[in-house]
This record gives sequence, C-alpha cells and structure tokens, in this order.
Amino acid sequence: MSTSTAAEPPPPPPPHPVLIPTLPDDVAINCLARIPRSHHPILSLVSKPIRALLSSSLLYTTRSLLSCDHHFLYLCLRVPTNPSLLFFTLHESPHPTTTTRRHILVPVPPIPSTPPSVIGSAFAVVGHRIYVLGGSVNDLPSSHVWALDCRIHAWEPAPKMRVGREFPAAGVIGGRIYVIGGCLVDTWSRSRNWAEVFDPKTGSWNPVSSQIEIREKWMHASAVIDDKMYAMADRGGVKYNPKNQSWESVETEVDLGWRGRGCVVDGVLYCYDYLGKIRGFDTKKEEWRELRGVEGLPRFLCGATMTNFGGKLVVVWEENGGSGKETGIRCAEIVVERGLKVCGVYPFSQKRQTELHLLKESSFSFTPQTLHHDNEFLKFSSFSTKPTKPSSHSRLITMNLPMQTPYNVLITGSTKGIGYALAKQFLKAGDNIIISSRSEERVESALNNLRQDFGEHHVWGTTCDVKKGQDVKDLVAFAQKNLNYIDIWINNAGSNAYSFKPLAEASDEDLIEVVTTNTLGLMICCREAIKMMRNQPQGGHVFNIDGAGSDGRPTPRFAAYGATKRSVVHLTKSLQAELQMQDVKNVVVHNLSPGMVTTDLLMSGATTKQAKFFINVLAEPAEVVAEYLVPRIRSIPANGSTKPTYLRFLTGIKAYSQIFSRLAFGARRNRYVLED
Amino acid sequence: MSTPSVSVNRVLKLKSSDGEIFEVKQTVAVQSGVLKQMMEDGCTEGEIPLNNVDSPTLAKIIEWCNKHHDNDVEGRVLSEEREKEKEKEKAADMKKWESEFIDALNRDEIYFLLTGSNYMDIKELLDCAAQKVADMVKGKTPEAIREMFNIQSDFTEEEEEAIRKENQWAFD
Repeated sequence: MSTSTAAEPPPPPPPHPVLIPTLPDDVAINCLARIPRSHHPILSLVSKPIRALLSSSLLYTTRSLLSCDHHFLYLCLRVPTNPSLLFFTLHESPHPTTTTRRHILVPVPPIPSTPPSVIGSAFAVVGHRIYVLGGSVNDLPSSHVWALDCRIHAWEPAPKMRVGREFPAAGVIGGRIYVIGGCLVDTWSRSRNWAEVFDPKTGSWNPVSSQIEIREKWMHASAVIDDKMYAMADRGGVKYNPKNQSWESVETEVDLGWRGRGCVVDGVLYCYDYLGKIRGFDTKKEEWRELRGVEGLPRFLCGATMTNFGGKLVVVWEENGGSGKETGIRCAEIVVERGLKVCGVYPFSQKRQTELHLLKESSFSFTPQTLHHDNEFLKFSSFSTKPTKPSSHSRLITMNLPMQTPYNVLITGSTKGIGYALAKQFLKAGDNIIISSRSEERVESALNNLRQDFGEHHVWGTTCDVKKGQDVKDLVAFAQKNLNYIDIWINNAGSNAYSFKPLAEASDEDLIEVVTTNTLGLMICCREAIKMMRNQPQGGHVFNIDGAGSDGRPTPRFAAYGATKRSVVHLTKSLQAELQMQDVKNVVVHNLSPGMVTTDLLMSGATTKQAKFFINVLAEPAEVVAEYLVPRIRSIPANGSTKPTYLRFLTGIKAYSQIFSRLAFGARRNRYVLED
Repeated sequence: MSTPSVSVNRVLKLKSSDGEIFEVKQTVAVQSGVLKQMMEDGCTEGEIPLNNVDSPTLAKIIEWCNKHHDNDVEGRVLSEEREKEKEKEKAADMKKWESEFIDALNRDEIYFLLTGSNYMDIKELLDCAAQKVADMVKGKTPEAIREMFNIQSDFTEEEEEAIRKENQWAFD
C-alpha cells in the first residue's frame, strides 16, 4: 500500500527495478533525494537503478518537494592554454576534512559542436537551465542558444535568437529571458529585433519594440533590478520595464558608478571598482556606497567577479597556488543587508584539484595584496563624460552623409606601440592608413612591415614632429595627396621623455619635450585636422588619446606627463564646445582611452615593485587593446553618429568581459615585467 | 469536516502484525494520516489491524507520536504566556529529542520505522527517518553503501571503472 503526503513524489513507473530492497521505492526515493549532490558520484556506483535515478528528473522534483534543493555555483572560464569556454560547478567535497569545508571545482562537459573561439556570449539562468546566448565566432555574431540542464549536466540546443549577437545584455524577468543589443541595427530585421524576449515555456523568441535612438550595439553590463532590465551601452544605458513595456534611460548616478558586470542582491546593485572595493547602489538615497565589513577579503582588482548566489553575494577571484605554477580559484560568500552592511563573510575556498590541470601550465597568477598610495599613479581615469544629446537636426544631416568604408585613417606616433597596433588593426579591417612619427628610420621600417602584410596601396607614411606647425601642415598635404581626404584622425603621438623621476630632478629638455609633444603638438594637430575636415563634405572624426593623469589623479614621478594628459580631456571638451558654437556638425572630436598598454613609454617606468605589479595586472598588449578599440572607433562613422564619445579600454573595466574571455580571470603575474 | 468522534479521552486499539494490542489516545493518533481518515470515517471500533508494522516498531511510532503530542499541547499553552523565544527553545529541545530517538536505532529498526511511518502516513517521522538514512550514506564508500542497503552490485568491473573516471574528483 502506498500512502501519499504532499511531500512525497509520484510513484515511479512499475517496471522500475528496486532501489533499496526492504524499502518501498517511494520511501527509498525520499531517502536518496536528501543526499547532497556532491555525493552523487559515489552513490552512482552503488547500483544501476540508483545511478539511473540520480540523473532523472524525478529525483529533482522530489528534492524540490522536500525543499532540499540547493543553489549551485557555476563558473565559466577560459584558460590561456585553451580557447574554449570551460564550465565548472562548485561542489562541497564528499570527504570533508574536520577543519574546513572543502570545495571542489568540478568540470562540466563543454558545449557540443560549438567553435572553440566563441567569445562574447551572454548567460541567463531560468530554473535548472543555464542559457548561453550568441557570441561571436570569427567576428560574426551568432544567434545560437545552448541550454545546460544543470540536473544532469547535459547541453541541449535551444531555439535560436532572431538575430546574431555578441556581448549583448541579458537578464531574466518573470521566467522570460530578455536579450538586448549586441547587434548593429543596419537592417530592418536587426532593427526590429534589437531587443527580444524568450519564453522557455513556449520556446519562442519575440521582438520587444524599442525606440530607434536607444539601439546601441555595444553593451558592457546588464542587470535586472526591481523587475527592470538594465542594459548599459558604451554610450549611456537604458532600462526596460516589461510590465508597461516602457524604455527609460538609466539614471546618471547609476551609470557613473557602474563598473564591470556587477550583480543584484535583494534589489541592490553591487559591483567592484578597480580600487578593489565592493560598492552597492542604494536606491533610496540614490547613491553608491561602499560595502562595509569585507576587510577580511583581499581587495579585488579586475580579476574578481561576483554573483547572486541564493540571496548571498558571492565573489570569486583567482589566487596562485603554493607552487606558483598553479592558479587557484577562491570565493567568498557574503551575507549582505540592504543597508550595505555585511552580516558575515564565509570564505570558502579550495585550491584546484587535478581536474583543473589545464591551468597548471599557466605561469600567470594573481596575488591579492594591499594597495598603497604610491600606486595611485597607475589608476585609470574613471569619470564619464556624458555625451551631449545631438539635436534631431544634426542626426538627420549625418544620416544623409554616412561615411563610406574603407575609411581613410591618419594616426600620429604610429610606428610603434599602440599607434602601430591601431594602424595594423585598421588595415585588417580594410581601411587605408597614413602613419607617421619623428624618426624617418622607424617610419620606413614600420611601412615596410605593414606593406608586407597588407600590400602597397593601403598604407603610406611620412615623418612628422607634431610640435612643429609646418610638419603637421605637411602631413595634411601628404594625406590629401595620397588619399584625398581623412575620415578618422587619431592623435596618438605622446612622450614621457622616457624618464620617470620627481619633477624637481627633471631636466629642462625633458620637460620641454613632454609638454611640447603632448600639449602643443596635440593642439596643432587638432587645429589642422579640424581645418581639413571642415572642408570635407562628409566631415571627419578626431580622436585624442588620453593617458595616466587624465582622470585628475596624481601621477608622481611623471608629473609633467600626467599634467599634459589631464589637459587632453579639457582640450577635447573645449573643442567640442567650440564646434557646437560654430555650428560645425560634421567634425567631431572624441577622447580615446587605450587604458594601460605595455609600450616602451610605460615600461620605462616599471622600476618599483608596486609599479610592476600594476602593470602586470592591468596592462594589456597593444594588439589586444587595438582589437577592442578599432571596431568601436569604426562603428562611429558607420552609424553616422555625431555624438562626441569617450571610448575607453579597460577604463572602469568596461571592457572586462573582453579581457575575461581572452585571458581568463586577470591573473597575469610576470607577464611583462618580472615581479620580485 | 469536523471530527466529532475524536475526543480527548477515547482511545484507539492498534494491533501490530505480531498480534500485540496498543492503546493510543485519539488526539495522539491523528498524527497518522491513515488513522485520522479512519476516525473521520467512523470505522475505528474494535481493534485496528496494522499488518505491516511489528510490535517493536509500533511501540517506537507511538513513543514518537506521544512525545510530539505532549509538545504540541505544552507549546500551545506556552505560546500564549511567554515570548517566542521559549517556543524556539522548545523546538530546539524537540530536535534534540528527535535526533537522540533516531540515533538510538540500528539500521534495521530504521528501515522498519520508515516502512511503518510510510504505511501509517506520519509525515514528520518519515522525514526524520529518511534524513537519517541520507546522513548515514554520507562519507561512505560505494561498497559500504551497498552493504547498508543490502544491494548486490550489478556493474561489471569495466562499467565501474568508467563511472569512477567520469567523476574522478569525487574519489580523490
């Protein structure tokens, strides 16, 4: 006889073999369902019927009826030795030691039949399924969706999105998945489906209507707060309320403080700033506040990520193992109150076991250490210049005169470092380039290299000392002779005189060199660029590259450099205002922040221990930065946009997901400079 | 539906599979879904045969039900007079009693209790015993679990090896 209570599962199908002799099957399932999942591998060896039960939905239905379902943390990471996305879940060890609870990262099978190089997928969790949405494969945004059934760790294809997307915003509201952006709206279909919604119950995707002005492509973060979907585009964020199907722009205050991906716990948006502090947005007071009480944790740099784990804030970061060859992953569970106070921190951690041997090859590691004020100079600019909204009039004009690809691009100081990497990346995209620098020898060798790769008729070069007016005028003439016009002018030439020392010890020559190149040179270049572009029917875009100090933070040991870079931002703003006053709508001046790039300029400063630490953690090879920036730069003339922008790489970790997918958890000790 | 036949003083006569008679107050017996249903249907006259429950198990089940009934009555009085904290204390005491109760049983006794509480539909006792079984599994090797459940392995050596490989992390 089988009696039933609310907590009992429906009886299993009759031919089912006996699970536990002497016990009715429903009682046996009641017992077995209570055994934690970490013991399942051992349990699955007991007998075939038990093994079959463990991967059945019956077990999970029972678990949830018995309220013994648990939250599981899943990690998706990429390691330097493998281009594929790797999935892991965090299990408590079935053999706990007496002193601490041990946790183990358990590998989950990879997504089947997906090219390993997919980057920029979005993730969403509905019930027991993790959805992996889109991502780009060989620079082509994909519309594929895969779902991981976390009960049995099996991947299944889910219905495709209506359009391909890379780095979209995604979130779940009311059991439905909203996906926003990550696609250019250059066709009717993409425009209509810029935002869409998936209902797992019906298995169908449907467009979400939106206004044309908000349809940005590049998203750097997203979250669901109070049942509203926030999608943070590079240029301002929008939020969607499914209840009344309305779009609003995200409050400036939220936008300004939002760094990295963040997560929402109990209605509070948390993210970490790059100083390593966790901040939460207090919706009542409408302000960002630091999360207090986490002093026991290392101060996270950009290598940490966080999530809402069953109502707790979980922070995951990387740490090197004892041998130095191994990278460990640590995480902490933080019980937070809405008042942004911590109630308890429970670090649970375990060095990776054998299953993470992939990481062993890596010599990278991330040592959390306390930051000193000495390091202030290598922080990035964190302020955001809100673009002024263009009038509908100017939008109309530029819409009529979109620039044609290939673009003609001029870059100053482009025979090495980030300038050279940018040139190379534009060439890869099919554009025509003018390179220049002061050294004839370097221009020649750069030109030779680039022509070898991209042919004779796409790249030209000439010498130019940007602090000399005539040199820059000649550069314009050279450009017009070879290319007729310039669409994109990037002011990259900059100098630190290759010396890092207190101002009191700096020589006249060094100071003159820094200021004339970085400030006077930039002014001359802007002047000539604007003069030329005003006379071009399609206008043009000028990008001024910022640097350490641009955000107003002190730059000890390269005070002059920092001061000149601070002035870059000011000059750009003034020029934007001037152009607006003069009603010039076809020439736009932007700021461009490559973040920290391992170039000669930076490396010459890496003599102190702290500086080396920072460079290893934060600096990127010029190629990586260029790969990130160039598509974004090119998207501006492509969209016919006349909004001044401040394009930033890694500044405020906006590009974090990119780096994450490329380099897996910013762990990178000894990458460029040998740390002590 | 009201249950007019249930009163404080009346008792039910329960007959175990081995023929022993147990007297149980109706107010205690309502914890069993089956007995409650019988009372509501008015068919509790005479001895109620419980063919799936032997006398040692039935004694245990009645001990459990009496304890929980006492606690309920006491709890109700207390909650009117004292703070919620006292109630919590009571709950903690009960938890302690439950775990002592269940820990004192051997494996077979627990299985009988599971079967019996399932048969009589006593949810709390069933849950408590099932949790005990789950806890007993933790930390055991597959071989030890088989012994505990009286199961013969139906895997070939190769199959077993393959499963071990699949979940290597759990066996280190």
